[in-house]
Amino acid sequence: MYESQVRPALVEGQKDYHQVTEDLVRPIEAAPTRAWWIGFLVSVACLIFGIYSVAMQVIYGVGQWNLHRTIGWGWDITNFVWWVGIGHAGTLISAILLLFRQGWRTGVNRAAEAMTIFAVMCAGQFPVWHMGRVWLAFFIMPYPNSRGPVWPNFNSPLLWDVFAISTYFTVSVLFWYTGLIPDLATVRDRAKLKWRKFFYGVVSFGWSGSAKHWQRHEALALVLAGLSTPLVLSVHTIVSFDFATSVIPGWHTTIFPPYFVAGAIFSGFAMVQTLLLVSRKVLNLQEYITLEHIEVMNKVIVLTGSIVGIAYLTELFVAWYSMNKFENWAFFQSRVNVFSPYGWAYYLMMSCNVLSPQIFWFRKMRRNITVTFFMSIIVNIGMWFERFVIIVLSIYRDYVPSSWATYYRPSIWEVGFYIGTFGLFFTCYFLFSKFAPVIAIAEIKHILKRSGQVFKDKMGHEEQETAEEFAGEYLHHGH
Amino acid sequence: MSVKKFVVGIFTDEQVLFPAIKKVRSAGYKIYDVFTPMPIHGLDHGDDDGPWRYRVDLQQ
Repeated sequence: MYESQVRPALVEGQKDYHQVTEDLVRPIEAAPTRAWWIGFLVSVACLIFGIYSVAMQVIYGVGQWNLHRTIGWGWDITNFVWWVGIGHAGTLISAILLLFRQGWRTGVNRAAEAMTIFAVMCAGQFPVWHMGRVWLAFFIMPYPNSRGPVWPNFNSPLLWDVFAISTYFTVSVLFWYTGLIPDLATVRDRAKLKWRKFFYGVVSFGWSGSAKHWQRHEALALVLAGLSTPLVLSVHTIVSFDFATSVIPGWHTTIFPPYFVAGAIFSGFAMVQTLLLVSRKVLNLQEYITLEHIEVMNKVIVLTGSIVGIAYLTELFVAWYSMNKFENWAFFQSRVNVFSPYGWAYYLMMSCNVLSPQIFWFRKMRRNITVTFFMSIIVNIGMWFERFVIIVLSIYRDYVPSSWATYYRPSIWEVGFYIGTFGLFFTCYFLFSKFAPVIAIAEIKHILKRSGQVFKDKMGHEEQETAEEFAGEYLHHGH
Repeated sequence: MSVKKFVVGIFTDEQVLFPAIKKVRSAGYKIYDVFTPMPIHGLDHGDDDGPWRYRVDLQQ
């Protein structure tokens, strides 16, 4: 079988099918390490602090936060958009790369999908708890009621968000879970302990590995990928409409949908890098999450970071070209003016998002683990500031100076809420990495013969021949 | 109730399945199922008897 040696191996080392199973199931079967316990308990502590912070706000009111006129949205919505954006990378890797037949997705898709689900769970916390009277949250549901009937405002992107994000969450969970079933069955089949056999037996739904079932499984994966792909584009477009459909200078702009979607993929891939660089080191999976995987994800980061940078420059240009003095003010006084109260945030955003990812034009940097890790953190900080800049810097200085707000800084409960979502995210991720395979076992086996190093090494002599020799041989000998 | 007899084949590499399925079918066996740890493409493509579809042979 002819397999190109130009494309590097996606599974390194001398792996056969059994070794793949051993490598990827071992972290599940081993007892939790001390590092796992420390990480897990720190995450749970953050989560508990977050629950307490939210409780303070629910009991004592939204006044516990430092939102006030004119800054009606601050850390709450910044964090919401940040988390939703992060979620988009997982779906892109799973769904869009499946439709594009990219074999390298198999090393990273399981962890990335899990990241998406946990990120969307965290994102959803903010619109819910920021409501104020959360016990009336069911008001947003469209059903015939005895309150008039009062229907939610279908013209509002805030309501569209409810549908977009719940759809996104549902489809992502289905996609992740159906992909997990064969791998959970693998753990079940190896299980020696009674509880493990029972637990994995239940969650794997009796998967047998029948060829019939694999056919249906692959068809289902394609269907879910087809459903998820438009969601990658539409969900963050709808989120951007929260701002774009308003009238606020700095918010009301048609560039937001592509700008937000590119930014989401940008920050999402950065978060995937952060998670995977740590996971591969701790779980000893460097031969499955190879430098190739890391490099190609860094290429996506530099691409989407550049798109985001072009969007920033476009905004600046239009702020001048439009001759709209309020748009001009929102950009050149509230942002570019380094002496304005939040000018520092704008320049921080620009350097993190536009300047720093340019380092990935250099191959040596793309393949450097330390650089990638620090860059992934820097990109996520930059993207948080992008949402902060969009939200707060556009509204903190209203049209007349008498309406200019005092400097907004978050209260302890707003910070605590955000820390709590990190706690939720990492608690879920630690549980996921302990109880489920972090890499899609069956999918790796599916590409092993094609892209495993040991098989590429056994490759024929074709690559050593010149083109003419190869063509001659093919013509005369038919092989 | 008739007695059903099954022959079970165990393999360590999936490449052996392709010629094996052909031989087993031409020897007259009905293939009940094939269990694999990952999806294998091309198992059901036609030999001379036409395409073989995955289905359960319900026998009483």
